[in-house]
Amino acid sequence: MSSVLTSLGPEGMPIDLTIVLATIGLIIIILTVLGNRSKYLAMGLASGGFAFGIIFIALQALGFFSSSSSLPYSVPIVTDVVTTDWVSYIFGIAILIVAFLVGLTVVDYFTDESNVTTFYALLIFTTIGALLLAFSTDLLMMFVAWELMSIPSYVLTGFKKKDPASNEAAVKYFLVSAFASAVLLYGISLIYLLTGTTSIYGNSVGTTIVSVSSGYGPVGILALTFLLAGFGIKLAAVPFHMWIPDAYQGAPTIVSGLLSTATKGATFAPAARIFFVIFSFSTFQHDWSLTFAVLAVLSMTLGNFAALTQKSVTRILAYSSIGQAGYILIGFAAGSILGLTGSFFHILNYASMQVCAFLAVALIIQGTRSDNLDTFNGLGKRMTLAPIALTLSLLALGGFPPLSGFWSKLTLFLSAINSNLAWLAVVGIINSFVSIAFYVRIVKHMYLDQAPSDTRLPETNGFRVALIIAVLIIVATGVYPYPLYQLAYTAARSFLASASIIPALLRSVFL
Amino acid sequence: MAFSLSSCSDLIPNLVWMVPIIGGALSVLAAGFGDRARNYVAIATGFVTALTATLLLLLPEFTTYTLGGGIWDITHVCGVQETWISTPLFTIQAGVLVDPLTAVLALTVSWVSFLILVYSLGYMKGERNLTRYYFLMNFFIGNMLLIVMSDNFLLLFLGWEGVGYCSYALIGFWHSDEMKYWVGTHGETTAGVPEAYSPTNAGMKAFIMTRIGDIAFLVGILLIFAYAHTFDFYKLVQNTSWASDLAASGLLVPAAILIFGGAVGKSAQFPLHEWLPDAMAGPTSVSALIHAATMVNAGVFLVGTVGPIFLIASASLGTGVMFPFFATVAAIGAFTALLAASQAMVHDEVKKVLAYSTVSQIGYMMLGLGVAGLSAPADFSIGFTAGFFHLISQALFKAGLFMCAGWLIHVTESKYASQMGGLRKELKITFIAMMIVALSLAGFPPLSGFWSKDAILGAALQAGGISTIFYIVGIVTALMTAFYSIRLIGIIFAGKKSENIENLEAKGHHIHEAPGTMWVPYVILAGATLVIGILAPIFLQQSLGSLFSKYLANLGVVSPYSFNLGSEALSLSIGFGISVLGIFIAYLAYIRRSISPVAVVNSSPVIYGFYHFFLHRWYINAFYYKVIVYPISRGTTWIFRNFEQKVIEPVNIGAPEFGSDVSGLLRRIQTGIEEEYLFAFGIGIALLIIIFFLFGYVTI
Amino acid sequence: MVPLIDYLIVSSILFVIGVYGLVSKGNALRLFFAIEIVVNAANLNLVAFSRYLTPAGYAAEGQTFALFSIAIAAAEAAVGLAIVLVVFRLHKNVDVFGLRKLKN
Repeated sequence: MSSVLTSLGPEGMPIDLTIVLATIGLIIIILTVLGNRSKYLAMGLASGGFAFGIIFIALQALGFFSSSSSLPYSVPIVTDVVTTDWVSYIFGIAILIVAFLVGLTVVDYFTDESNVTTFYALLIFTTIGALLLAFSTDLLMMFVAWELMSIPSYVLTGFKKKDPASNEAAVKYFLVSAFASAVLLYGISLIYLLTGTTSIYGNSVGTTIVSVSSGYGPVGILALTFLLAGFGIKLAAVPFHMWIPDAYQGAPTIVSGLLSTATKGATFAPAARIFFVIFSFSTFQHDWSLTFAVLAVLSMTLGNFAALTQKSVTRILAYSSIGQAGYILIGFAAGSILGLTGSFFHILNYASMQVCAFLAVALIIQGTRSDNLDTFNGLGKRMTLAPIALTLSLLALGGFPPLSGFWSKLTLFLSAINSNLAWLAVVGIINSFVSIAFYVRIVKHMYLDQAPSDTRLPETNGFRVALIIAVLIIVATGVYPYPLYQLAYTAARSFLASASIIPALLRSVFL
Repeated sequence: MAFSLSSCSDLIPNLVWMVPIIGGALSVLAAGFGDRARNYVAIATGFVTALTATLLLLLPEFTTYTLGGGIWDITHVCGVQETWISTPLFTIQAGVLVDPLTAVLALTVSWVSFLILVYSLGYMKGERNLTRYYFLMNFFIGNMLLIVMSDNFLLLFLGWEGVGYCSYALIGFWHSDEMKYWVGTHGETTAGVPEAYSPTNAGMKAFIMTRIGDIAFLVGILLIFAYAHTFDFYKLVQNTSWASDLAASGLLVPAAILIFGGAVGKSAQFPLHEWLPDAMAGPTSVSALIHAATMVNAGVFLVGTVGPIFLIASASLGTGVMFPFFATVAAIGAFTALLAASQAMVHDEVKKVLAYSTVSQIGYMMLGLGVAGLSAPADFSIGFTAGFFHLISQALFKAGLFMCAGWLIHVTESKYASQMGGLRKELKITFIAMMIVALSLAGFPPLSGFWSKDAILGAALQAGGISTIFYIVGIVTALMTAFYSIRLIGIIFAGKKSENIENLEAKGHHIHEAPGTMWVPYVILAGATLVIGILAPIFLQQSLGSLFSKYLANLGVVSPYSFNLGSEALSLSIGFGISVLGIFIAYLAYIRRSISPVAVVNSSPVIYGFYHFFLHRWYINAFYYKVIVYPISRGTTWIFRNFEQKVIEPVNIGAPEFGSDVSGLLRRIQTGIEEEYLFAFGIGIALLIIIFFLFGYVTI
Repeated sequence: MVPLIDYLIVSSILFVIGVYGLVSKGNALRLFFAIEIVVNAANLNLVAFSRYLTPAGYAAEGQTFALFSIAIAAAEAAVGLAIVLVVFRLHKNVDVFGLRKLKN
């Protein structure tokens, strides 16, 4: 097996991975159609696929590590539609871990739904979409992957067919997201006009770019705006965030966990590629940092402040997800190696923290039948693992040392200071303080308030395993952040190195 | 510099401190499978830790040593360093270091800890909340080993605070504060300050008092860091320019003394010694582990680590630069030894006597390390070895004493020695074991205490000069030590049974021997003190000395060590004489009972005055409360009323109100209407375009 | 050859019509059509740009892209209509103003 894997080589990796996962998805569908609706078979197949993916990517990444010392920072420019660079490894690992964790809990979560196997098929396809989105280096590939990720996720959001809330969430999510796709497509068409190609890294670099007169500057800006808005929808950046709280609250909670981590995290990859490569950064640094900085400030402030007075825990987590997107955008605003390191590192950490929080809340809601904060009172006495996992993930999201979130936030704030955006770091730190208020408020309700009853609430095994893995990732990264930090740093450095190869000619378009 | 550092297999040195922490966490998980599972996991963790620490000696870097020739020979220091986090702005590296000092201490700490964990099995049987107990014990052991193994101040400080926390939490283990768990006698006051402390109160007292030292320690570390830009011990030794820079600012000695402040707090030395006697409110097993055998010795370890570093760093600045530092260490050690021993002579609570004795013995160790620095550089290893030899020796016999005391207190249901009495027949094993460890404390040959204490006194005698004063103080203290250790044995085991015991027996309580899980550990420790005592003059002291001298030579202090009975004869015989004298007086007064101590005390107002002075802790505790604690408490009440309530409170209410106002405003945007969401989207696009045009790099 | 700017104008008008439809109507199906109009505005762009760029020596990626986008829009429409259908079954209408259960 290993010889097969190595013979495939890194270039073929995304396709191999996609084929394996898609095959598993198809097998599940075929089995379902044939009448075999064994939930555990589907779970085993899906988890096996995700685990395979994690190991596969990890092996590839480690193989890169062990080769000659100069390699990690120099990634060849790919003219293919997909690439395997460090950025794609980071996002791939984050997406697959989230999918794996969510996959473990599906059977326990949907106890009264009959078509759980379908859920697994949809989960696999949306994961494939997210993976391809992270791997894609071509606007066409990117758009197809984007839709492959989005379409199954609409169905997942509305998976509880008889639940009005789930339906409402699905409709809202669908309409906003479909509009976002349309706007994104429009932006892509404008970029195509400007560059004459759909490849992000250009065809054969620097030779076939049409010299467009500078009169097209506004078109470029329009393209950028549309792309930012389109991505902003999935990134939950203010002011494109409006659907988030409603959709996360209405959707099945584990789906919210998936949406807020896998699909959102995956979107940062094409965003980084398009903004840093096509709209090459260096000549526009000042202006671009400001745009990202404004989005970051809006997202952080709105997300954190709006969460303060919420009564629904899933809504709090939804707003927290908006706020966290703001932190990640700080790194984009800084635009330096350190900034992107912070962003990538925070995306990795954010995936495990947020999915852990959502899964813990999902488990709790199963017992209490409500996501109201008051029903969380005294949960510390009624459950064991879920409150601990929720507490740890919330503290990590709030940036308490020595948990994983602390280090990535620290890197982000340092990068802002390093890029002369100290004010942005200050806003970020103030927001961190504000965010602690509502994160700790949930913890307070769970441990300090009187429980309405003393009955123990059930904790199921699938959730247990998923939560323990998530907590281990959070704590281990917090105690020993160096490996993941180094991974993020390598990705950021190699990515910016590859971005700077884009010919100056292209940049002149916007001058 | 001569310092050589070789990298080594990073697994074992790291496992030494990780095993107890992980095991502690596992014992919490195991509690889900029942109490027995939890206990076994906890004890097994202790055992694995001890084994892992023993494996340190088998590291490839250490295989060159031989026990055979009577000489341990370690040619390398083994260090493992990992990058913790590294950014373009800063890098934090941390790691562990195995050298002779850490290896010896790790061995002592881990094995004594294991024995005490076994003892806990019997001693804590039937208590509630034992999951917390076992977790904290193992967590403590892990942090203690982290202190010992860390290769830089930062990690050491982490462990330092870790043990501080565990100490606090375990002193207050019986946090329900029932009367029987209080330390001190109710109603007794010194100058109006109550002498009795509840467990929670004692825990907080310990935490706050050691914190004073910790702050000094932290300032000292940061001072060094500000000049050296590193926390690493070996980097500090390799590049000593920081020392001259510090000295140029006149901060070298202050920095050293500030770091010593941490040791003063942790090791309960004067003036921060008052927390230790009250820390006896914790379970006796905790007192044995934390407040006798391990944590309180951390201060000694710290001085032993930084002493050579400062000595080497200041070498280029001329001899005697560090004189004030070492003189401070020795003087505080000597004075504390005397101070605490005098109080141990008069107290009646068994554990308090042992606590004072611990303070006093650690004073001896500090004296030894201080004298090492005061003597000629070539003699550095004499005092150094003596200090650490006494540390090991004290860890063994004091842990033994505490464990014996734990059983006595349990079986007699009283914490006062005077309510025991005449127990030698019923408790034969305990009696013999306690006799041996007490004689070791008294400095009676051939037990380990005799050799280690006289090594310190011998070092002081040999150093001469100012150290002669410390020697005399040490001799007086030795006399007191011999007296109080036999006094304790006499009151507990000799004479008639006290009323308390007779009442118990009348009620049908049979005074019986401890269960195996309890007596085996303290018998092992008594045996160890005997074996070490016998082996010490033959080769052990010499090989320990060579080991430390190698360690020091590796750092850059060339100081060969040689031990022979002949040259030590004078100090050994004085030590022996003093010990016998003390034992004899105590024998007359408390075993043969031919002198009445009460009559002696009442015979003259001077003796009576001293008795009261000692009994009331030299009025130091009362002084602290009157001058520091009460005024601060009154002051903070005033601040609370006038500042907290009038200034902070409005802010505390105002800030969240502002937050919820903003939040409410933002919430109003979220109407639930899809159209408006899409509209917001449009606004967003407009906003972006406006930003681009405003900042004007687009011109149409 | 029709100048490029004409295509751009048409597609801009389509885009604006689509956005107007999105913001002004409450019917889920109408919203859905409005989105389709925006998508088609983009498709028109792609095809037109491709036509404009190809004589200059570029591959006709834009037309391919438009084909993909039309196929994807069909898939999206299928799923979207299914969701709207489920909502209709529960609420007996498809007015998104009625979907206000989820809010602060």
